[in-house]
Amino acid sequence: MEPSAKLDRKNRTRIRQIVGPDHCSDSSEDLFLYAYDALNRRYLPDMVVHPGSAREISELLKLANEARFPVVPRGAGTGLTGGSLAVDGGLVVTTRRLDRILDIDRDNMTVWCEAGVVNGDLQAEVEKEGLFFPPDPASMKFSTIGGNAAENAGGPRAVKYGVTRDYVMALEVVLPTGEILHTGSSAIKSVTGYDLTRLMVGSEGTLGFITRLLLRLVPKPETVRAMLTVFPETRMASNTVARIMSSRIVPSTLEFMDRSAIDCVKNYLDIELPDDAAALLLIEVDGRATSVTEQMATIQSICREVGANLVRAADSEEERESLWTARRSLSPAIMKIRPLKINEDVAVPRMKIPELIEGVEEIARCRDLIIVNFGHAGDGNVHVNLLVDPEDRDEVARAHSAVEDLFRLVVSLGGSLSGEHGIGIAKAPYLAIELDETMISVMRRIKGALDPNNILNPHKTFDFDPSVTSREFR
Amino acid sequence: MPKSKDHRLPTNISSKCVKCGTCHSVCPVFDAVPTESHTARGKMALIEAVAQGRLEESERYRDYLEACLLCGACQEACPNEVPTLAAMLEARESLAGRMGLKTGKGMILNHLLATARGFRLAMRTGRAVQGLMFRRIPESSGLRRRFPLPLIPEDRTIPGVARDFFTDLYTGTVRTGSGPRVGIFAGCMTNYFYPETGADMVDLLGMLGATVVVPEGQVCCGMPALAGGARDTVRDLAMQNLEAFEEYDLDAIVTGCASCGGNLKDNFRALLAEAGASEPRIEAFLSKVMDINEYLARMGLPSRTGEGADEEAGREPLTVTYHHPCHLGRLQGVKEEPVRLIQALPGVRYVPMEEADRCCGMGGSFSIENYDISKRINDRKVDRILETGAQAVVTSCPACILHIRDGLRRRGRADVEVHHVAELITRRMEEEEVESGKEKGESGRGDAETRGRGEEVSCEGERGG
Repeated sequence: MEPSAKLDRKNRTRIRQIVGPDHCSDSSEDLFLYAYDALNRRYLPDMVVHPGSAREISELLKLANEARFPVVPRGAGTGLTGGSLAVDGGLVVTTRRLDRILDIDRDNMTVWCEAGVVNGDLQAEVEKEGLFFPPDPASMKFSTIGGNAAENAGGPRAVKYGVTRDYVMALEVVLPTGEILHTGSSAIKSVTGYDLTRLMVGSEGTLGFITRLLLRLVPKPETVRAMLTVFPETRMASNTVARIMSSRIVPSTLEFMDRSAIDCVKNYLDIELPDDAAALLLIEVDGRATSVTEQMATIQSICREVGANLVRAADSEEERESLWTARRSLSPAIMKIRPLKINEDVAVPRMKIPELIEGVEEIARCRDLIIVNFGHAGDGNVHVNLLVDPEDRDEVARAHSAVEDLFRLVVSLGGSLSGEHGIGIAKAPYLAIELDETMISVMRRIKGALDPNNILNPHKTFDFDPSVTSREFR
Repeated sequence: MPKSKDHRLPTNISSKCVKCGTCHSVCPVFDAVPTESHTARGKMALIEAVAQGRLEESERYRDYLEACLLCGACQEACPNEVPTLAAMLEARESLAGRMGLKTGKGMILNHLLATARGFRLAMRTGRAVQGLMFRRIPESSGLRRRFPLPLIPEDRTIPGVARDFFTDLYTGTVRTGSGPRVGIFAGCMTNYFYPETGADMVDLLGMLGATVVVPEGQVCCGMPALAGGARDTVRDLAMQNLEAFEEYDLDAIVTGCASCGGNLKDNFRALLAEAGASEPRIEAFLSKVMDINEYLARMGLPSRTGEGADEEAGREPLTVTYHHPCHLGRLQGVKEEPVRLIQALPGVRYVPMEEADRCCGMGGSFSIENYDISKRINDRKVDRILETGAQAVVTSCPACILHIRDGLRRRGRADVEVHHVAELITRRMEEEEVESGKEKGESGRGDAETRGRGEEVSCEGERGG
């Protein structure tokens, strides 16, 4: 399984021939530029290439199988769990040149695009046609569709519209052994054979290299309205979410902040918040203007009935923007408390959020840490942020213990280690907390069948090897 | 050249970057050519690797660091508030200290800019020989090179060296009024390439009743040298400027150059302190520095220009859009003032531009070393300008003016006028006087049109904007 041979001179030459000399580099400067992603850890690859077609990628993978060097797919390098890191060196293969939107089909409401297209660029293009691509990870202005699909990214709109997985209809994938696989169908209904599209989506670049995607689109909502509400108790916020849903309204956004997060952003807001603010909800409803107005009124009365001590609706686009500043200013505000943020995107059934928050508060007390929670209340995906000073070794160690406490808590609540960021190397050590032996064994067998020489993105998720990942530099 | 012993590498700054990638979405260079070396996070990673001793300060490293406009868009968007501009300047300084400056560039930065006399001499030489090297382009008053020259691509239009430099035409106290005493910091581009902008500022301040002073000893602000990493040179320049402006008792020091203003406000405090100036002297100098737009807005100019006078006069207004220079809008936060000034002008209709605060692609030496990328960035700016349908685009930085004129010409749209705010205001105010003069049966014309719009200067002023 272990890829032993690194890139020798002969293989470097062959790689150069495959992609062309202008599209590859092994200069130290370029290797340092592809040594990181948004996990902010460092592993130097041996070479970086920017191929121009699936055929070139296929040739690279065939060579990798012959010569047994690791190949690591990379989109924009904005993943948060290290999925695009060359932890054991080898060849980083980017989708930089696969950046074309190929065909927007208005009538069938689909789009074919290449893997390197930036999510936000795709959204802007389809919206010109009155269409809508809902998946909206926080990185959407700079992350690629290929990366979003490989990590099965979500976002605030998931509560109503689902995640990337729900929009991928068909894929062109280069398999680890070099064959080019076409999964799925252009027909909305297709049950012919195994659903290999879904197998590939979320496989974190370990089962295949996604080069093209057929994506499902929906009509662009006519209007969006936003409101902000604050509660003196966390449970009230959860009850509000449940009441909203049971009154047959599905908000397009239901962002949640706990007391610690509210404290962080208080000063950035134009609005005076009540002193007693344990939970904040940012709620958006989209659709036809008349129905949106009705739904907003219903939600406001639910909030008041449940016991909100502040309800503020945005009447204009500007006011909507100013409500969002609460959410957007959170990241910089948090970084002022401690320079390092360990962000765990755990997910629980949404009615378990109060128990999760209480449990996290307990962990913070026991481990003597600052933990700030916010996230997507509608789908139970909460971002638990442990704030640490990387210079303080004891605090770092306590944080690592706290992460394990957190995962055990989440699994005991019927939840999941990661809602949208993936496992990569960041969460790999904790995988067995959630997945049993049978699950891991089946995954291993699938990986072995598709990638017998373990050359595609090795040492990630269940293949995690601390003796390899400990070789990072800082 | 002397190699500085203490190369300060901004590890504390670069390590603040968490590599999230937000800078990808705002960087004009990355937008034109999306490679990781063009992003702020990439540059922070390289700086960090050098600081840790893992990477040599190589030629390639230098090329990567220099492929940056210093427009500040990444710094503005960064969720972690990483001061990328400071990191870039410090890294370039370390690079210059260790490797020396590039030949040519080093000579220009260290010898020509370093003394007023040296630079003036170079400009005089340029003026004398530009006829031999460039042909004049009739419709643009710009120059194209006649035969291959280093640094200047064949398709680039640059202004000629002015027949008369601003600081030759205007020296010492040039207007005497009953109002505040205002000093003008000319800046090299205004001085040598666009002296008419300086003249317009003098007239405008004079019209407002100010006593206008152009201190004799003023020199380059040093931004090109600072951007090139030659901090030692800039310290001397900062001190010479401090001394020049101390000669006069001034209420305000005004500049019409966004990059000079940004440099004075952001970097001079530290530079002067390093040069040994005392805190009160520094404070007395820098507390008076402001952009011409800030000064005019502070003096209440919009109300004086007679808002809405056009409709009454029943004439067709000039449609004008505004481009925010990075070093004025983003770095100095002066965004509202120029727009308010334009909106209030009689005979002018303001049309907003999409992406008005997006860099024009000039970036000083960036546009010399990376002209192809610079053109692509500029194309997007020109698209936005043309979309407005405006007859004129106005801005507040001579470097942006140079680059936008070049871009419009390349696209065959030299008919769209490009002006400095001071020029537009002066022209409109003078025409107003003429208009009101006509009504009284007098004849005459403001001298804005007839005043020597010099033969311009043809050496690239290097600046960060």
